[in-house]
Amino acid sequence: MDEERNGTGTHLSDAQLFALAAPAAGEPEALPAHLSLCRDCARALREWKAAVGAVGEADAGELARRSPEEWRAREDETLEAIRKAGSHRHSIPAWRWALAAAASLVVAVLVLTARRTAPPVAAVAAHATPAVAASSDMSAADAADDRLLRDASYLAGGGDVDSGSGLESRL
Amino acid sequence: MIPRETASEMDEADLIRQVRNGNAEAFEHFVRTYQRRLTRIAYRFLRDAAEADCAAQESFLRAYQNIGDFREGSTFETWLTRICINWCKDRLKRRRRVVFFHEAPVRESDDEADEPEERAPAGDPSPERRAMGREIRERLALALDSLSPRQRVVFGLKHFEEMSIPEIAASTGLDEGTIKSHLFRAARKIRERLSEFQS
Ligand SMILES: [Zn+2]
Repeated sequence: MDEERNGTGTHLSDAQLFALAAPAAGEPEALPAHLSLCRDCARALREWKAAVGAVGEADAGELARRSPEEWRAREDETLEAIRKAGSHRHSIPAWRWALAAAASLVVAVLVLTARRTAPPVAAVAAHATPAVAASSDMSAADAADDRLLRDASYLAGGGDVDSGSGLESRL
Repeated sequence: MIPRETASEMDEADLIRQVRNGNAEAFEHFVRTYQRRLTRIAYRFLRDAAEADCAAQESFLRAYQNIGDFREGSTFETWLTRICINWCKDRLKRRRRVVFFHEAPVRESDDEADEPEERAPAGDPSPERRAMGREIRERLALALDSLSPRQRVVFGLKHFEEMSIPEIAASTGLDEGTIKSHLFRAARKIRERLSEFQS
């Protein structure tokens, strides 16, 4: 191909044709003047461009031979997986609802019991240790109830007790 | 990373908002539009069609589950491709390959003679020209074998998957200078090999 074939100068080499068919920097390279004068080289450049595409297809292995129907089937599989993930993400397992309901019940019982047995507020204040009174208005029991309530609310909102809130161990 | 504001991207932004609001069906557009391309990109790394399918599906799942992390200003396609390439890299690491992306490509030269002539340029089915095209393809395929695995992947993304340099950079996490350097060296190696064949 690099032999002299006509009167317009030296034919382009394979390396030159390749450089034009697949420009390294991503920008089309300036076409040599010879190309506009030599039909052989212009045709060879078209062949090289086609070859880049064809080799790319061959390099894609069996994917290049897949039919549109086969691709569609793969897409359907992906969509099915996403639907499953979506329904999993949006639905809260039944046991979590049961746990949240049980936790709410325990809280209600604790609150009722506390109201019946609790001494008057003034008496609680008198018996509270200074540290507790200073750091919080809540008694130890109130604080425990508060944690329980927060856990119950967290569970009802779909939270996961495994993340460290520790409700299961306290129950 | 690629500042493009096309009508379809604005539509995609709307679809992403729908997905974020819990409409899983709105995600179908992305799967229908990008799965084929994503699988091919994964194949350039993994050289295994089944794994490339897995990479694409897993990438869509991750994208769906982490759609809240998608930042507007990037394109969904670039974000998705990056997820996929990261998945491929993890898979390659797990394969404990000594050389990154090292397998030889699948060659179908034996089957080529029986393939339909869809690869021949349209309008010129002359035997001479077909032979010329086949000869060029063979030389080019041989020259490609001289590339390092990494050069081959970058070359494939650029010239076979027609990704731009900024897209490759954004998807792989490499900077554009590194991509250009890989492409330059790959092209030089191919040209050298082609010159050897010719001489
Ligand atoms: Zn010429």
